[in-house]
Amino acid sequence: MFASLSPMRASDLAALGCFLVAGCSLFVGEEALADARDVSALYWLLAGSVSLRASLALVGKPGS
Amino acid sequence: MSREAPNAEAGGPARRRGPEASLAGSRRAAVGGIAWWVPRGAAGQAVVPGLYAWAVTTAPVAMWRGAPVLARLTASLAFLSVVLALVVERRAPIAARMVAGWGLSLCSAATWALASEVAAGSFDAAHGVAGMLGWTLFALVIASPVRTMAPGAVASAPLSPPGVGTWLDTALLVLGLALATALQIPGWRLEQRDRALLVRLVAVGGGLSVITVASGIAVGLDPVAGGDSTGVPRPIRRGAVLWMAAACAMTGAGLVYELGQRH
Repeated sequence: MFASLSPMRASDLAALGCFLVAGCSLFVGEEALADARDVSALYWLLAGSVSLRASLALVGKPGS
Repeated sequence: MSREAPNAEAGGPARRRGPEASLAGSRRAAVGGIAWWVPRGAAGQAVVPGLYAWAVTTAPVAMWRGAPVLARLTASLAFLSVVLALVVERRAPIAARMVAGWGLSLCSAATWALASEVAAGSFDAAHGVAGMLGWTLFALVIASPVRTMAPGAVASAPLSPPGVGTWLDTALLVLGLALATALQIPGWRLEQRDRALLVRLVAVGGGLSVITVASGIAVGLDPVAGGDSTGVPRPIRRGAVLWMAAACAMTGAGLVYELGQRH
């Protein structure tokens, strides 16, 4: 399995990391929104959105 | 840099053309396995949003205790119109679109007109918003052009190196689905109706974004589909670095703030 990782580059791994961070940020934002901490929720949801955008930009998806 | 398919003879036996052809064969087989599910027309595309809209808005009114028999009949006809359209769309796609669109909407309207005021008035805000989203999706899908797969598109598609496009795509899809599902959890433990509705709407939007980005990453990681068929590493664009720096800064600052609040 790990031999097949060779075509991947550091930026691809960074994109996967950003994707995971984005998922966690969005979840924290949802939790904050459920607890009525609206400012914190807005911040984490925005951080998640930026992380999602970063992951797409790092893999160089056409049109991103 | 040519982006044409490297295997012009994709229709032949896989064993003659090495590992790439084997991968092409496995992908063809995988697509062939789910071909029955691929919609052939507008009615097929509209099945899921149509049934969702029916389940959220029409069925509850018809299933209300004491609902008129005619309301139950029209609700059943609304459901059957979608199923009927799905069955006949291979032979008559235009008629199937008409049956699905007009059958579902007119029969649902008749159900609402025939239902008792108590049943119609029992809808809360969550039901209303969910129904509005369902009908909007149904209208968009039933009116949009049919998405069809060009003949031989899979067989002649550019291929990833063996081993990369198989398990990594699946892992990304599973990860995206897991994250999108996890986002739904916080909304289900809330008792305050307005807050729960807000959290669920945000969760749906976030889940759609996560799944969309997961598929985008899978396409971007494909060296051919991502525009890297030569194997030469693409330069990292400056914008990507800026986006990553912003993400790291925001996440780091948020973590420091949250940890500082807890201590």
